[in-house]
Amino acid sequence: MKIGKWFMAGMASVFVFALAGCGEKGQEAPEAAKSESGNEGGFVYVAEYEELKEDGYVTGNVTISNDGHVIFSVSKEGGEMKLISRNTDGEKAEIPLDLEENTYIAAIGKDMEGNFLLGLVTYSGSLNEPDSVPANVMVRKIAADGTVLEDTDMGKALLNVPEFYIQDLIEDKEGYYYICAGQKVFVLKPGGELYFEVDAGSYISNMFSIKGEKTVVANYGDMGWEMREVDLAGKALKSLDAPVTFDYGTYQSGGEYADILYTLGTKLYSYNLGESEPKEILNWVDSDIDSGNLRSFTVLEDGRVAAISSDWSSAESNTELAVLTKKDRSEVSEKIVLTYGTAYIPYFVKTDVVAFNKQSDKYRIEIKEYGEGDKDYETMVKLWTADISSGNGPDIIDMYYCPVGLQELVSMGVVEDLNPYLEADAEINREDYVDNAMKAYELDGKLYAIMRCFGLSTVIGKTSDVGEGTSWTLDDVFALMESKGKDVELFEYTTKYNALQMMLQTNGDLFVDENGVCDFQNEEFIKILEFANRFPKEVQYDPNAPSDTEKIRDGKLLLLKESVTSVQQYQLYEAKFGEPINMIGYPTSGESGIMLTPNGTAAAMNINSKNKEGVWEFFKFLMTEERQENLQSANAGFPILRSALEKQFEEDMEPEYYEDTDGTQKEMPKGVWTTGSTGEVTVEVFAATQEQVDKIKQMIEKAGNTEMDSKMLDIIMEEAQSYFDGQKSAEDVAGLIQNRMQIYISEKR
Amino acid sequence: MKIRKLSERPEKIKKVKRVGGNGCRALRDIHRLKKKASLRDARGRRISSVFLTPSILGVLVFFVLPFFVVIFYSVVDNPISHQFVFLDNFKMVFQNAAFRQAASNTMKFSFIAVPLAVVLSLGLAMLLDSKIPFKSQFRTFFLTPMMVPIASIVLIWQVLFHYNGMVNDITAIFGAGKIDWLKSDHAQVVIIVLFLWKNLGYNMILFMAALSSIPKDILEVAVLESAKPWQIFLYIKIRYLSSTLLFVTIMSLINSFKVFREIYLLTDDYPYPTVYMMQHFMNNTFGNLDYQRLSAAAIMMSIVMVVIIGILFLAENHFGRDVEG
Repeated sequence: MKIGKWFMAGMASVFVFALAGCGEKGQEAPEAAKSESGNEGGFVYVAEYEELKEDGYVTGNVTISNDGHVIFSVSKEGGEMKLISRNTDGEKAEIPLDLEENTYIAAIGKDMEGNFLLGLVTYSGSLNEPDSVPANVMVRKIAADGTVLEDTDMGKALLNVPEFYIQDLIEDKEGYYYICAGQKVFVLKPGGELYFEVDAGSYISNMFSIKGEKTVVANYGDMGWEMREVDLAGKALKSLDAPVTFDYGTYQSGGEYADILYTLGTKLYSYNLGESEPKEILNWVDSDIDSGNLRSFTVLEDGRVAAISSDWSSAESNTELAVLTKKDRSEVSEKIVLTYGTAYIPYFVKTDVVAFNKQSDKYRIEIKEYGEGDKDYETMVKLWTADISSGNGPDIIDMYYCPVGLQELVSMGVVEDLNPYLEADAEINREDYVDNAMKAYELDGKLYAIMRCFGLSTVIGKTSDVGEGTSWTLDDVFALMESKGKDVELFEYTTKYNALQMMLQTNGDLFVDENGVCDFQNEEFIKILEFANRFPKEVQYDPNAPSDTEKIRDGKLLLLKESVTSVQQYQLYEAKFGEPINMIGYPTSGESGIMLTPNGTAAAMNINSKNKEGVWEFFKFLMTEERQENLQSANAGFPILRSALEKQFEEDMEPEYYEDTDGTQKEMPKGVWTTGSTGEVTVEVFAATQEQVDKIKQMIEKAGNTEMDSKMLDIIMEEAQSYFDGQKSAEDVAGLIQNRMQIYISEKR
Repeated sequence: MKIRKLSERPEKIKKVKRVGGNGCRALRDIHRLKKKASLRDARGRRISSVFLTPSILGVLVFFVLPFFVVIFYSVVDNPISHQFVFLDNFKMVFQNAAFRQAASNTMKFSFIAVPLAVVLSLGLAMLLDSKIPFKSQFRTFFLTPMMVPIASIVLIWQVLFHYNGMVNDITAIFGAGKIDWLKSDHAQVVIIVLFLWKNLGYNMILFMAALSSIPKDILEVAVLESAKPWQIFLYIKIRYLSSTLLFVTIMSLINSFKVFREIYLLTDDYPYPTVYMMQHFMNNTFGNLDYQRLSAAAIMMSIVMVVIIGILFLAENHFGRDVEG
């Protein structure tokens, strides 16, 4: 009997422990927050910001020395340049340069003795003149106080290089100069004589020196991200001997602190050659710095981290110096930490999170990237799923790269209905927002996610070809194809599968009714199969082929499928087509073939979040007038706030003027777009007309949110293959799709 | 009244027993033996409990506890909010067209494939039990599928039954049109053939072992009594084989559910409707993180399994009661 009792007690313990394992995260939260920040031992890097405000734009590269001395060049309207030095006390002064007329500071570098190198290019005329060409190239070495130490003329060596410009500049211990230009590195002897040049095969993203002994170039080559050192003896590039796999990022010299200092994703790492792995220093987002905006960073002698960043996407593109000091968490005012969980970090999310963190006194968002590192997609999805299904998911769920669709999230019960928050909030009124954008994440009357801005996915054609209607059917497309010659392409570089996918994305909902009964054997679906079958099975990109603009203008290409995110883009397409266009949408028998898609942060609230108020604060922040009106660039997407959208349209229609040399006011282009693989088509976009804006408005009103889920697409693609291979008829394939799809749809209900 | 001390009682008892003579001594011995045996049993139970505890713990933690978790999931709205919905998930699953299709297909498959697997393997065992040439080679031949890895089996079946596979090539020689074996109503036939091919050998070995254990004297007596072969089969062999028959049937039933693995590898997660099985439904709902419906379906399936196995046990008890000890 005693044994029985002990046995029962033991079993009870087992159950209690087992159940405890399934319990709440509770006590673990602070630990999780610590590890999320990426800082060891509970430390955080606290940033102090200083705007490098000058009369003009900060151009070229900004250089920071190990003691915190910053040197940067500023370009004024009209091309005048000046060099600014900011010393360690924060005092700024202009360094007199006494430059020749039309001389431009192309790059700023460092030597091994703490001096600065200026890459100076003198042009034959004003920089604004299109015919102006480089007339001389010189490297000037200056001391930190601005004293000119040496001028080295490199004109003889470099002027014969076509379209020459200086991207990066380094001097090694032996006095050799390394000049990076495009995909080439020019190595010059101390006197300025060309020693050799070497081609990296593709655009060089970064060139840096490792303690003056090795010069390394980083570029994205055929084999992925490559790090190679310049081999002076072999006059070539050779692989950097390091057991670490480097990936697409920003790489710089680590100065005295390390061999290499680099930013990968949102984190800063240091690496010393010979070590087995890099050391993580900090997460930029934790210090409210958008790593996508970084121009330069360094670890200072005293252990602080200095970074220069420019908000490229904002209208003013402010340049900031941030000095990050490592502090114990207890010294820093506590904020409630919210997690933003995403498969991969969309570039605009960093911007939004950093902006939110900077202005919020109560909350800070930390980004949790499930696909971080070398994780394959399956592993990432498993991690994401495990977190979400166990109730330990992030507070904010990213919808832009979400591995499952909204329907699944809702059936899992993971996402919170935002309507009550919207209704309870006195500052936000749903009617003020674009209805179609709000409906994008609505299901059964419940709003599950918010997008900050959107784009319009559509098909563009000449009005003379596609007519002036607001939608068209496949019959219309067939009629258009019949009316043209056989050598005329409907879409460029489109395979059967691309065409089928394109049609299904917009028409997917037409084949399934609200009761879950599908009909893939109807005439419309068979037409879609036949339409897709008209395209080639494979296409090969031809770099020598004429650009799409040339093809369109020659009448060899009829349509473009594009995502339109601004009025300027509409104007660009008008210019490309050379005559009135109609963004008619994808062919459909439904109401509209134009799709509204998120073009910025799109996120949902985790139903299990302990800080739902904080999450709503973030959503509200994205929806506020201030944030909506500052979408950072003309091409960032359409804001969802109607008033901000109207304001953007007004700005698009507002002409801008400049005075030419004889004082006449001329309209200035609002943007210059260059298209084509070799940039052969340049279009200047001026103020939009009311008619152009009205067309965009009409598209927004018409746009739908249909999207076929990936499994349905997979089934259709798989079965369609036998039709495309000529083994089965379209009707037989439609029958098979119908059978399999019905099971799928029934199962999901 | 004088109260005796308890310590005096044994003496008294001893005296009484002595008076009782031989009969009483025997009773006493029996009592002593029983007491000893009882002590030994208790000790044995204690020791066996110690040895059994890890296994019982394992079963409880890895089988019983998860089963309770499954029951829990089946009565809540989702694994996140845990709102109690009682039988709503069961109703939802039962009304789901895909679930019904899967249940119907699985039942149909099991009702056809399991009896076939039992009957054919028994037939083969009887055949190999008789005096035929190449017995050993035949036995090896039927056991071969057990040794082939599942991936190879699927590959072989794909080569055979693909739209451009060997079977269609052969039928084309005779002028027949191509059949999409795995994506048509023929799919279930292909799967049944695959199931039999894979399972016959194992079942056959079990039956051969059982056949060899039937007492030879009974069979000889039956022959001497002029019993006909079918009478020997029906009244002697079947009765002696009843426990093996039950075992083979249960194993085949379990294996018939496991055929999902082959179907999945052959036709993916959403196959042609006739080969869409219960495990497809469960696997897909798991993939879609719909744990509540998965749990409800699993419980419904386990209830059906318990009922079927219960019926089989009753049948075995009925038919095999006079041959078991």
